[in-house]
Amino acid sequence: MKHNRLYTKQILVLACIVVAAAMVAGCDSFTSNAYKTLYLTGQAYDVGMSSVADLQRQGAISGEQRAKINEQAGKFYASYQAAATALSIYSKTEAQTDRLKLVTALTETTQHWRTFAEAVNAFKPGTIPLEVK
Amino acid sequence: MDTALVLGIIEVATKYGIPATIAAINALGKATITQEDIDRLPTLIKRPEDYE
Repeated sequence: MKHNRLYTKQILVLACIVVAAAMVAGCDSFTSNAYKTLYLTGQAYDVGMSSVADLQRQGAISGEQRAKINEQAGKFYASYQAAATALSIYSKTEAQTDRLKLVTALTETTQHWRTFAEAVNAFKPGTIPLEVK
Repeated sequence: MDTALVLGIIEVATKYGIPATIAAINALGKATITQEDIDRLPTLIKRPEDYE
């Protein structure tokens, strides 16, 4: 139980840093902002999924619950990969059409992040932030 | 950078030593983002089923 509290605190502090850092990132260029958003969201996902795996090992999460989280996490993962690809293309071309594709991909990533965070928070409220901008 | 943010970072680094936090600080502190940094993004996270 103490171990769970440690992880929850760890994630909460990291989440605060992610949100604050994302706000700090607001004054950079579009490419830089996109990179930092993806990087920080990815880090938060990584910490969140590591904690979910730990909780499952401890028996705090059933296989069924894990499957539901994995379903949402899979959607986030796919949208993150698509956004990373879109960013890579845009940073090379700097074309307006590629910029639009990147914005669309980032919007989708944010939406899937929210669904993923809700899935995790459903059984352990406040584990990860709902908004990562 | 906000004082609370700095304190939060120090707290995490000293108490928990999360490599992800250190990496995040490094990423935020970068003056320029290279194409190499961007191309590394897909490898930074694992598929959900790979977290065991």
